[in-house]
Amino acid sequence: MATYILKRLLQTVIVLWGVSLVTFVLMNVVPGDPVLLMLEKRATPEAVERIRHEMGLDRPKTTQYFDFVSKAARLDLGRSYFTKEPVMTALTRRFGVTLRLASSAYAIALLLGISAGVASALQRGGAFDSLVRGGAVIGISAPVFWVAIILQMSFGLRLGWFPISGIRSDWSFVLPAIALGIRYMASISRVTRTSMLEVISQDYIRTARAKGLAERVVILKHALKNALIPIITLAGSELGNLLAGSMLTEWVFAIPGIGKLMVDSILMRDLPMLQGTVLYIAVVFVLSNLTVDISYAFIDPRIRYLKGD
Amino acid sequence: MSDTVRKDSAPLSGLTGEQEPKFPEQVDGSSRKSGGFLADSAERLFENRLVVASAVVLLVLSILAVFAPLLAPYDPAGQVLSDSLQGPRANHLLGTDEMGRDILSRIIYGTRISLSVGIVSQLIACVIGVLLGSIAGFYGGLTDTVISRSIEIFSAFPELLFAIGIMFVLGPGVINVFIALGLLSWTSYARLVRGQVMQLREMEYTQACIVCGGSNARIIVRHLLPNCFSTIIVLVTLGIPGAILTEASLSYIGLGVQPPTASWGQMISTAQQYISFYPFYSIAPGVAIIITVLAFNIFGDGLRDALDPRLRV
Amino acid sequence: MAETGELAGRRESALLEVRGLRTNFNTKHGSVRAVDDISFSMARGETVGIVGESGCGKSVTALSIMRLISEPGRVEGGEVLFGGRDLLKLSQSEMRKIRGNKIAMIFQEPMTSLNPVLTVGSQISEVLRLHERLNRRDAAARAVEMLSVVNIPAPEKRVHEYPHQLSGGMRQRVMIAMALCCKPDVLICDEPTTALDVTIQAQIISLIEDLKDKTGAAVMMITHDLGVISGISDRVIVMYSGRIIEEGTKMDVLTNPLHPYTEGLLNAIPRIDLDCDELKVIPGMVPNPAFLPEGCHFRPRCADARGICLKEPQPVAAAGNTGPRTVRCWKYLPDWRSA
Repeated sequence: MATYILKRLLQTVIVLWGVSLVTFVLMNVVPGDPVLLMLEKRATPEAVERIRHEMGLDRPKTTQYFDFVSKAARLDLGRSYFTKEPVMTALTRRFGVTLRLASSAYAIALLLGISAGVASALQRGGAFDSLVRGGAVIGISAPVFWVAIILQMSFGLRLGWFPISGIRSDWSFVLPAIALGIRYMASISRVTRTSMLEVISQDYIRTARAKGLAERVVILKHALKNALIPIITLAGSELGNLLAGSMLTEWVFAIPGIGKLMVDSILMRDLPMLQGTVLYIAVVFVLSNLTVDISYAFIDPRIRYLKGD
Repeated sequence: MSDTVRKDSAPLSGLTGEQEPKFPEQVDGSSRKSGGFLADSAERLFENRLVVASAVVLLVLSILAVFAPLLAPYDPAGQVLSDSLQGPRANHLLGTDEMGRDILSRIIYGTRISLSVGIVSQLIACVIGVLLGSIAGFYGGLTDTVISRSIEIFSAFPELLFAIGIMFVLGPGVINVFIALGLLSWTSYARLVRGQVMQLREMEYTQACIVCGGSNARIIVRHLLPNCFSTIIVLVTLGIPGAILTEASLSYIGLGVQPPTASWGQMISTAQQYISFYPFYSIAPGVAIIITVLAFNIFGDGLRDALDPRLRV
Repeated sequence: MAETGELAGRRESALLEVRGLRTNFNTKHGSVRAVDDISFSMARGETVGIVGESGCGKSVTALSIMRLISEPGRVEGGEVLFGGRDLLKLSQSEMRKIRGNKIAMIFQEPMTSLNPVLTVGSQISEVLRLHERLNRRDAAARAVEMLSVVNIPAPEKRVHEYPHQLSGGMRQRVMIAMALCCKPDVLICDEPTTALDVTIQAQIISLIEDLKDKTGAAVMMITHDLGVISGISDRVIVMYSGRIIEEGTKMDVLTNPLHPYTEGLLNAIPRIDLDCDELKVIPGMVPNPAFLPEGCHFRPRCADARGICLKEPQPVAAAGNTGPRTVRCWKYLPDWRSA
């Protein structure tokens, strides 16, 4: 088990290094001189040169890259071109907001997705099953930002039940969380249904029934725990997509989270800020995948046994 | 009477020539006429009415895309400023936008962008992925390690984030969207093809080819890839809806297809300003996206079940 | 027929009695009868062997008694009398009090019949906590005890292990421990040794036999292996195509088979004590349950078949040397000679 975790950690370090490289390359092949972007058009060539030197942009790219990595490792991601605020400060400040949005959406998706999937599998072929399956395939086919706009229009603008933008109270999170959660709820309910259907036809479920256990115990204890494995895989891999999806949702609802920060920095071509947010989201994504892989070992003893030794 | 307990079922199964009597469900299966893999798959595919419906929708969408100039009632760029932001009516079935352009015509032209982005980007991804995946699976060793690690690194970015990064570098435009989405999705092809090639490589017939001195490229192209064909087809079909959604998101934040070209995502973005008094403008392109993506998803699911049920999540 | 009275007498003392059980599977091609009018009884402490080829309805019979038949299957009729009550008429919650408690079952596949994500200890103690209302600690202690009863070495260590850490034979021992921990009156064993190695098979069978003697449970041993039957049964029921075709004491059935099918089965066993160059096999195949032949289901494969066999034969009592017996074949009915 310890060997498995260690191996997985080492792998993560390699992936993180690759992520930093890809991010750096992306940001350095952007057309247009960042210094010219920052300064007024009429800045003198001397001033441009001086700033370029101050920012270290006149050094070789490899030196710049090592500089970037060593600073990033110390949580220094540079400063915004425009506000001059350290990127890390801006990220931490906004992280709480995104975390709140993403975790509410995630909770909605997991809770409703799993229960809908289980119920649908148990009533295979029934009306509820058709409803869940139909709803799920529509849910994964609708663009997140469009769902956000429609919710904003109907429940915010028309009915006036919820605020339409900004964060004034907890109510402000309701519509964005639903908009963001629907897609993942749909995909989680699909996986749950398939996985449950497979598990409930297994021999050990028949054994559990033959023991005289109540159907509730058979489903919740014996079936669901086995069915959870593919659900966790999906939930883990979707966490990153949820974070990326929160970008558009935050943008639609004008919620000052990391996603909005990123879209704003794209529109203003604020490179350090963009580089920071991209790196940040990728790191969160990689770490969440790591967590998922390790949590398998706790849920499925066969993995502990096979990979552990 | 011997007292030994036998493991094999000799006394009884010997009588029946190992023929297991089929239970009801299997009885159905065995009564199916068998007519080759393709015919069987096609029969299974079109058994489902939903799949047939989705195929019809996809056909209609393709016709709309190809014959857009003939089918669209108006020029998608034709502005009539005096007739802007008017709701649906007889001569403009879906109303007009802020420049007085016919929304229906713009949506019909939008199918061209969505379908071409979906298909071309997946073909690009497929070529890169199949190439790298089969090389990694066939050669193994260091080559495999390098390619596998690259797959991991490339999949370490959430899709949309990665697409945004590439589009930011390449700049907006349809061709760049093709490239960005292609670079985004090659990893899933590479991963699957690598796995299948690795398995097939160990099969006796491949080993026989190697022993007979067949060139590596020939073995991969002639013997290994045809076996991955159905998997690849399913992946392409299921990859298209994702690509269409990502394109819509990119165009929505202004990094995708640029105006005046009509694209659904960008139409939604523009329509948002007028949402308080003209919500229909926002709804129409969104419904177009849902219908298209839904049709691809249902068709893809059906195709997967018919061709390669192992891919089921 | 002298035996009829005796049969009736036996029935009154029966622990479990099945009367006219019918189970169907509903398919696109209509209803398929998997179990057709099965009646038999079991006395306390008795071992009844049910033998037949796979697909003859023996497992479906067992699952019907436990009421564990799942869609598209349905028990269509009959009675299962146990402790004076018809199990088929009990509510789900009353039935659950019987399953795993009064009537327990062991399945064919020890590899897949245990839940892979729960320790074997928790799977055993779960039954004890449910039916005997033991607390967590007592149930855990009893689980260890049960593992030692089924001869698993180092039970206090094994109890914390997961099924995949145990061999097939060990897992089947765990299944037996789980089935016996509430001291059931009836233990149904559905091909408990089929998936195991030959040496392990004998151990498992003798373990079941041994524990049966200790607990006084009646055992229903379902198998396709006449070797198992000859090893332990008191009585044998032979099934073919969803019907009981012959029933009697082990000695009677194995040494003097009446039904042509039973005869065929016995002839197909390789015997070490007789010289023979080839095994006799029964010609033909088991009929598809969706398309059963008219009349006697064995007719198409039967060497003795006559015109009368197109009509349904009824079970008839026959003379047994060591106990009552019945057979379902026209050969033993008065009409045979005139046919």
